[in-house]
Amino acid sequence: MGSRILLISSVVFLLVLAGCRESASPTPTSAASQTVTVELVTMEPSAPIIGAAVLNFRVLDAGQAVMGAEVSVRGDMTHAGMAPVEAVGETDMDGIARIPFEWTMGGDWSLTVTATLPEGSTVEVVVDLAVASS
Amino acid sequence: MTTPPVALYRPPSAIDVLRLPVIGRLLRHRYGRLLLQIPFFALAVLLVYDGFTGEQVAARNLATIVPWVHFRGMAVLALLLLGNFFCMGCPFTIPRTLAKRLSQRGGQFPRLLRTKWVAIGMLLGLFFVYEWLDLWSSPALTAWLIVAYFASSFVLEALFEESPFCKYVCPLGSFNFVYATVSPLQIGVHDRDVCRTCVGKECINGSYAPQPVILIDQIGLHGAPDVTHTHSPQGTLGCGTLLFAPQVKSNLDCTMCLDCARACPHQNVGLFTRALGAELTRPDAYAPRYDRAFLMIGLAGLALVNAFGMVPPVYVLMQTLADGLGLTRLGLSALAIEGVVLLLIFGVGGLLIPFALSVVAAQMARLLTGTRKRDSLRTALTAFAPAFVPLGLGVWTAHYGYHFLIGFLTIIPAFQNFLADHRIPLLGTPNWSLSGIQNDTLVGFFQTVALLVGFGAALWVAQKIADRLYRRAAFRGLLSWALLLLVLMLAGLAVFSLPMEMRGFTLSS
Repeated sequence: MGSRILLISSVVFLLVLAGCRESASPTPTSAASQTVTVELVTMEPSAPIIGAAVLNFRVLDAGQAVMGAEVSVRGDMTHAGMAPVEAVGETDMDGIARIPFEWTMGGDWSLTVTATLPEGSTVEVVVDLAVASS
Repeated sequence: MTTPPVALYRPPSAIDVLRLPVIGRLLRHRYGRLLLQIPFFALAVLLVYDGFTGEQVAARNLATIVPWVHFRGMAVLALLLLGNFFCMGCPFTIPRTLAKRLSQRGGQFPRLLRTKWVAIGMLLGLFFVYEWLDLWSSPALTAWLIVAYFASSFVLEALFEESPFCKYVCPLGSFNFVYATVSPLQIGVHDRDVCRTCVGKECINGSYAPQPVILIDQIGLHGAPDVTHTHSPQGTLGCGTLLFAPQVKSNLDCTMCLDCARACPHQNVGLFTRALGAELTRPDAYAPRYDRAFLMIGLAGLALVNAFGMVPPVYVLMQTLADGLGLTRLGLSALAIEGVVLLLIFGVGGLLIPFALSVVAAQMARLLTGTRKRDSLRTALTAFAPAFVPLGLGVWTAHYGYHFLIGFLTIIPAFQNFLADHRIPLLGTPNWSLSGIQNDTLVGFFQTVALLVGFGAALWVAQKIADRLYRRAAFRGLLSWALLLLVLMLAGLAVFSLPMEMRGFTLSS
């Protein structure tokens, strides 16, 4: 009986804990952010390889270039045990943010790109790509 | 005519860890194992929880960081420096013990399955699934794997006697068993005569009897009760894998649960220190069985293939196999093609090729030493299998050590993130810049040393075995085995000299 109570209360505790997770809450979106697109347009070098790189992201709102949006990039490898690489840039009059980046290892990368528009709304997209070792 | 008593093995060491102050008492304590299991159990629950509910990014989730970066690296280190402490603290056996107590007297595990072939199959299955489904990149799948471990352990223990999960099924346990043969600690007894006259054999039978009908030592041999010891009212389980303490010659199959030491009413069972890898050169440490031999050889082969799965040429090989076998023309999904190709690489490269090469080496040794009539192929092959243990351990250390060294600090920001995600600002903002040793030269040097030390130890073990088996023809008997070990070591060096990639497999279909 005692162990049953312990088991049930543990499950309830875990469920409550899970409900308290910030990441479990839906990300607030604004009406503006629904018309905004963020895309990786070009990279230098074009075929990603270990070492320094430049990532060019374009931010459009209803098809129009957004100037002055802050674009932050967080690169995570798909394998645990690697520190993420973070970088930030700002869009120019063409809506392009030119962001210096460092591919620290060959393999699969997942880029989480967050664009914060001048009026404060944010848009997040994820870009997956493979980086060659040589 | 009386049969002379069989000499019982006693480790040639004077230090019994169980008789050391504090630590010995702690280990021997009735709840000594549980003290180690509870933190591991709590950790397992945490991993399952974070795996299912946390951010599905491997580098940020405890469910992927702890098992694939820390557990593997630390398990290898613990096996080398201490012993099979990860089996000792295994959280999966907590519900197992519950199942044992709840279930009725279980049946025998099917005789056909009571071999190490099952363990070889499970290891192949684990490494294959790990690569095929990219377990390292999925916190949720890793959490499911942990749940599957708990479930399998519970079900098998409820259905069968002899802890078949630990002894035959668990791939982690099989890995630990094989490499614990190198460890500096081993179960043994202080006085073999005590075991010879012990009536209860509690170390294997257990002293658990909630309502004892009769206590055998109280029957008395000469008309009067002959009570030899005090029985614990609560009792203790005996050895789960059915090892008899005075006959233990190897760490293979020993989970280091220390139930034997706790159950022994004479305080005769100990955990003795010994030289590293001492049992590998002992002539009577292992029965000459193919399954045990191929488990040792296969784990060395799988170590190489597992590391090969992380370097760029594996993609070329996979694509070549997929095209060459016509898989890409069959209209199969990329996942199915990868499954077939990976199964081939792991099955053939990790097991069949090493097995075939070891058969060739054994035949060559028999031929060169002129012992074809005296020694069967089984005798010649199984005798040298222990030489693959240090080599395999060297490859695993180089591989798992790599992941551990470059990422051992990543657990800190992941845990900070976990707390912050639950609005617990105890450890501050996650510092994602923490990782590990980022010096490739240093890590590469460590890998090379691990591989060379493993190879050196393997050669030493092989030479000792050759001396014992072939005496004056030892050099000729060693030749083919040394060549095989050299080829495997060079293959390992070649793999580790290539850039490691953290990558899932993608094939063009």
